[in-house]
Parts: sequence; C-alpha cells; structure tokens
Amino acid sequence: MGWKKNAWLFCLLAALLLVLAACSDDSEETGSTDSGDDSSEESSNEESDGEIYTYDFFDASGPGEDINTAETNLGKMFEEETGVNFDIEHIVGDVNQKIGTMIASGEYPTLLNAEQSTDAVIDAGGFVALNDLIKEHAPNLYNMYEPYWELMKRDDGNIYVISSGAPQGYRKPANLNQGAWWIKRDVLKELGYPEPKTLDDYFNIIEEYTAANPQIDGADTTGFTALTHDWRFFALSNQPMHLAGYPNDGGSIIDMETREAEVYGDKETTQRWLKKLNEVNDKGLFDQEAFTQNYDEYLAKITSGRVVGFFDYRWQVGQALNTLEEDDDPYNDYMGFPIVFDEDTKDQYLDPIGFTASPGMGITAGTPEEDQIRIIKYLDHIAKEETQKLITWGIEGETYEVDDDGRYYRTEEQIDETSKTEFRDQFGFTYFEWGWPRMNGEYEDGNAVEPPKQEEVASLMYDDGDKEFLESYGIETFTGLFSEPDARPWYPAYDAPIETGSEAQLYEQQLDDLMKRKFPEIIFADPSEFNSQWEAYKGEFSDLPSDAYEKVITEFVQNKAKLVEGSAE
Amino acid sequence: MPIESNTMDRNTNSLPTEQKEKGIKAFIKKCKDQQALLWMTVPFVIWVFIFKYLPVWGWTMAFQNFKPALNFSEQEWVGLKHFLFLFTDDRFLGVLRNTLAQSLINLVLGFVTAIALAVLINELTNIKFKRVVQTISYLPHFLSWVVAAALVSSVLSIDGIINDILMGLGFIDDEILWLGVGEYFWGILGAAETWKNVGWNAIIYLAAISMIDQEQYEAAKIDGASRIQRILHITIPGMKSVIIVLLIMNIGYILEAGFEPQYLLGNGQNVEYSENIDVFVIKYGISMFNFSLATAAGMFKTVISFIFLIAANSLSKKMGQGGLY
Repeated sequence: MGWKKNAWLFCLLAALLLVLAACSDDSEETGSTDSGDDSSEESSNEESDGEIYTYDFFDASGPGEDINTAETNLGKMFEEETGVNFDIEHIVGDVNQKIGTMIASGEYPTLLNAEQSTDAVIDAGGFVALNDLIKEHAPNLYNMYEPYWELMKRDDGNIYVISSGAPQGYRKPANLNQGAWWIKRDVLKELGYPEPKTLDDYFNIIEEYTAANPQIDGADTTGFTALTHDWRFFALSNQPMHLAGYPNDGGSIIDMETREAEVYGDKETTQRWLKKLNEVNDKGLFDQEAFTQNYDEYLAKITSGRVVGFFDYRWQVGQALNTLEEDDDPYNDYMGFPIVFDEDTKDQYLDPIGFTASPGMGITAGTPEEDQIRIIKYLDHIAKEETQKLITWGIEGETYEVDDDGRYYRTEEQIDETSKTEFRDQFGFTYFEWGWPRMNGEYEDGNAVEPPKQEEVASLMYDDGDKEFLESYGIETFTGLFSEPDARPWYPAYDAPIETGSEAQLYEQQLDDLMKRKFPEIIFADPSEFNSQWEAYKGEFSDLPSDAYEKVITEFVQNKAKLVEGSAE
Repeated sequence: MPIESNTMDRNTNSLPTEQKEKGIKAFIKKCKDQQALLWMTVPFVIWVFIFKYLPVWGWTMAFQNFKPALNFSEQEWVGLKHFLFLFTDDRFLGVLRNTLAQSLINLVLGFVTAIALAVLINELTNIKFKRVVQTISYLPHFLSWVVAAALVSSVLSIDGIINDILMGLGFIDDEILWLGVGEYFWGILGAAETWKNVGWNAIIYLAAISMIDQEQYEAAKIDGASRIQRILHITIPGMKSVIIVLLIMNIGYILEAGFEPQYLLGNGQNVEYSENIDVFVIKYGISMFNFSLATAAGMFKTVISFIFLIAANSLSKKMGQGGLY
C-alpha cells in the first residue's frame, strides 16, 4: 500500500506545481506584453529609428469594437509620426461599476476616459496632473486649449483630463444632434405638414393621427413612447426644463439674470409636464411599456415605425433613426421640432457655445514619466491643425476636395463612402473623430471643422425625401425651425463636479430613485387622482437635500461664467 | 467558510480509526495514518484562507469613509455611520422584506421542484427519453441572466406569448403588463429561477437516489409496495440526509436572494417589490463609489447568515436528523 500513498502524494504535488507554474507564467506575460512582445513584433516592419510603444486606452464613453489604433489608416499614420499606438477597449455595461472596480483595485489603463465617473477617478487620485506636461511637451495642444486653460483646472489648480471639442467660433449645425420632439414624417405628410409649437399642438397631432390610424403595418399604433431605462431616465425628466425654454443644464434651471441654480423636479413646470402625460395616458396615447422597456426594446420600437412621436436627444436615438434614414422609405424617418409650453417662449434646444471640461481623457497615476511624455506628444500631434483636418475631413482628393476659393467640399460619392460604417472603421474616423483633443466650430481658413456643418456638404447630404420636408416647412436645414442659442457662459451646468460621498451626490441618486418610483404612478393614475399623487410626490421631494445640490451647481455656474467672461475681455 | 473545512473533517473522521488511544500521541498517529488525505486538503485550506479569511480584513472599510487613494493609516474613521445610514433609510425595511420573501420563495420552490423532478426522472425507464429530459431541463442554467432576463421580459411583454395564451384561453380580457405590476414580481422571479435552475438542482438529488440500494426496491416490490409507496418510503427517505445538508446550507444563504434577475427585471413600477439588499448596495454603494456602505451591508448579511446557519444546524440536530457539524 505504501507506493499507492506516495503516488497520491506525487500526483498532488505535481498538480500544485502545475497550478503555481501557470500562475507565475501568467503574471510574467501580462507584465511584459505591453512594452515587450507587441512592440518588438511591430517594430520589425518599422523603418524609423524608434521602437513602437503600445499603451492601453479604456474608453467609457460608449460601446464599440476593441481595436489597436494602428489597425486603422489614421492610427497607422500617427504611429509612424510618433511611435505610439493604443489598444482601445470600450465600455461594456455600466460605467460606474467598471470604473468603480478600477478605483477599488487601483489598476488603471494608461489612458482613460472615465465618462460620468471622471470625478470619482480624480477624487481617488487616479489621474496625473497634466499642466506642466502640456506646457513643456505639447505646444499645439496648449495652443488649442489655451482659451479654456483656467476652466480645465480643478479646485486644486491641476488639470487632469483633456476633453474633446474646444470651441473656436460658432457654426449652427445643419442636423440635429440634441434634444427634439420627434414626429414620424408619415404623420406630418398625412396631416398636411403641420408645424407644432406648443406641447398642446404636439399632442393634438398625435391624437388626430392615432384616432385615424389605430394600427400601423398591422401593429397597434403607439402614440408617444419614452425612454426611462436605468441611467437614461433623464430622457423623461429633462423635458420641463426644455419646455420652459432652457437648454440641457441637467437637473437644474439656471436663471439668466441672477445665475442661481434652481432644481425643477418639484416645480410647476414638472407638474405641467406630468399633468399633460397623465391626460395623454388617459386618452390611451401613452406607451404602457414606457417604464418597463429597456434601451434596446425602446430603440427597436422606434425602428419598427409604429411610434407616432417621442422626445429624445438625437445622439441617444441615433442607432434607430440612422437605420430608418438609411432605408429607401423617406416617410418612416422622424422629424424633430422645438416644442415649448407657451407660444411666446423662445426655444433653446441647440447647444450654446460652451466648453465642457469633463469628461475627457487623462493619463492615469502610476504611468512612468517617459510614457507620459510619449502619450502627451501623441496627443499634441493630434492637436496640430493638419491632423485635425485629417480626423474630421480625411485626406484631400480621397475623402474631400478643395475648390478654387479654398472651400472644402465632398462629392456625392465621397459623402456615400465616408458615411459607410466599414469605411469609417477602416479609415479610423470612428475612433478618432471624437474623444481625442479636438476643436469645434471652424478652422482659421473659414472651413467648418465638421463636414456636415459645411453648407457645401450639408446641401448634398439631403435626398429627395428630405427636400420635400425642407421645402414644405420653408427651411434650408433641419435645424431651421430651432432658435439660435443664447450666450450661456457657464454652459453646461451638468459639467459641475459633484464630490463623491457629498450630500449633492446623494440627492442625485435619491431623486433618481424617487422619480423612477413615482412618475409611473402619477402618469398612470386616474386624472381625478392626479393632484393627490402629485402632492404625495412633492412631499417626498421636500425631504431630499436639494439645497446642497443647488449650492454646488450655483457655485460652479458663477465661477465658470466669471472665468469665461474674464478671459474674453 | 466553516462549511468546507468541516465537511472535510467529517470525511476524514468517517474512516475507520481506533478510538481507544487518546491525547497528542493518538492525534499524531492519526495524522500519520491519514497523511495522504491531509495533503489532499492542503490546496483547499490554502484556497479557503486566501479567498475567505484574508478578505475579512476589508471589513475595516465599513467603519471608515473609505477613499481608495489613501493608505490605511490615512483613512477617516467614522464608527457606525454607514450602518446607521443603512438601517435608518426609509426603504431599508422594504428592501429587507423583499430579500427575505424572494429568498424564501426561491428556497421552497427550488427544493420542491428539484426533488420532484429528480424523483420523476428516476422513475423513467426509457433511458433515451430520460437523458433528453434531463439535458433540456438543465440547459437554461448555462444561460447568463442577461440573456435569460431578456427572454423573460419579452415573454411577459404586452404582445408576449403569456398574454397571448391567457387571452386565447379567455382567462383575461386585457393584456397585463406583468413587469409593470409590483405585486407580481415575486411570483415572476420565483418562476424564472425555477425554470432556469430546476434541472441543475435536480442533479445532486439524482446522485443521492442512485446511492440507494436497489435491493430495497426489490424487497418492497416482493412485499407488494406500489410505485407511489416505493417513492414515499424508499426514495425520499433515502435522499433525506442530502436534503437536510442542502437545506441547512441554503438557509445560511437566506439573505443572498440573488442580484442579476432583480436588477435586470426591476424597473420603476415594480421597484417596491424587486429591490433587494444587493440592488440597494449597487445603487447607494458601488455606483456612488461608497465602498464603505457596500462593505457594511456585506457584513450585515454575513452576520445574519451565520445566525441562521447555526440555528438551522442545531434545530436539525435537536430533531435528531444530524447536522453539518
């Protein structure tokens, strides 16, 4: 029996050793891939003197394909110039949780865009200060962001993240990217191209159409749907602010005179909005699934074409609206209107010129100094004007042309080509167009930074279906119905950093929970019970620490406005 | 944690050993005799120590305003602040109620259905059919909850199959928005959990049944016991020890009602019934980077689990059924 026991022992030890060996192997590997394997592999087909350095870039701004930048045309060009490329990893799932895990473990990617969790990473000391780094090693970057230098600084005087979009002059966009009240074009056509201005007009159109067409393509018509899933609940709770004639400043309205922030969740504007929804629900026009559907189901519902109208930000429903626009039927597209409570209110749906300091990309703590310098030089390269033109317009003769006056334009083929997803992925527009150091507005030579904002391009982008509606409403572009934004030097107020663990942060979470719980009850209530439901909600609202939140926002607004106006003088 | 190490002790104890000698000498001799077995436990003891005992150090976070960037000595100590926040929040009682109710429903449904399925599968004589049934019933276990929740919510949507069937059979006149009515949530959750896990849970009972001596069945048959009688008097008593061990362990997990299905199927309309401790911790702990609160809630859960586990074990012993340890 002796040998049997020993055999057991031997097997066990062997297994243990194997496990240990596997573990240590692993850790060595992960330690060395970044600088060792990858770079040596790629430096073999690299004729310039330097080694190639690969860094991790985690992008929490949205989902996407994970890729090394050098696999795109643009990224390859930048790699040749700077010897640096990035492994981009995109967010999957919830941003706060993912970034929270990073903070808890202290293990960050080298370059990080932490989206709405940026403040938390800064509070946790996860980013390095960029002030001196930029001033010493990145003259172009400094040049581009110089007007906003003071705005980028945090309370401690340090700059931690570089946001995308430093405004240089204003261009009214040709196409909507922000909030609007959407109505299906079929509906507009059938009703003789009405132009709704107030909330009542808007729902009258929906009511009239739904009464005449209880079904669309065999499915029950949905009068008005709403996006309420998870953190996107603001797509239902922001409306009172917009309807009262304010742009998206988040959870509060900023008074133009006093520049004081005031929350509106318990004010008359919100009551008016919910009352309207309550009426609309009573008439059977409000989507019964509005509070149970998730984001994907919501997008699918809009794409199915049986929704008459909805409110949302264009960037949030882009997936659905792009699908509808790309097919052959111009009438299943949606058209956006600037709706307000009262006819004499001036709508403010288009974003004012404003510099958003956060989110942005930052270099994380623990990155060796020589790597920090390489990365900042890479960003500096992107900040050069000719690189900026590369990431927005592309290559002259391939993706755009220049006429005798120096005006940039795209031929119809180029417009088609550059709007194809495969081309955009391969060329690198998908990855570089936004998120990296970027200017907004126009170049020094007068051309728009973004091709769709250049009239020459915008006019060619419209097809016959678009033109029918543009002509019927007597406008040049789809933003023609919208008012110009007023100057709001603090814009956007939602950019205000909210400290982790503060009362203001607790307020945001508690308000979100309260609205998610009570809004459905209020909207689905019998109209006779509306007032008692509203009072119950208002009572619970009054227990929340809204003063703390208003204080944080007001301070931020006044401070930022002072800095912006001070630098303009 | 004590579960693993104790079950292992039991295994070693159950080997035939001489009980006459006593004291340290006897202990060393026993260790020598069983050294192969002891060596085999080493990796698991290491595992338990690293993954179950070392993290307990992190409990200190519950008494701090934990900031990840700071050293341990730089953390701000706040005493029971996070526990107070947890227990004084208006919603905490509701959250606790939901956790217990969901957990209890899962426990009862999980046991009854899995045992029933195991007995039924055991009674099947057609081997092919038996395998097909078993495979189909445990397949959903391998779906992630993200996928499963999407299936559940589309089945339960207004134009989903459940509404179609009920309308077709005339049970209801109007479609019901199942996930929009809070009162239905516990039932939906219980049904979804059962659908997903019944086959998987049955496996261990099938194994227990296969340990039963076939001669008992033959003897019973000769004595004229019917099929039902054989199930009631041989199969179920034969599974008793496994059932009790699992029951005690599951009672210890009474506050672990699960997180994913509640989080994924929960929404504003059913939040008063769907939100349990884990969801609450995600909202007010992890998502707000308040790791201290999350730790405090975790500690609370562990303490409750401990009490339940010990209570269930001693109750079971008192009733003469033997316990875990």
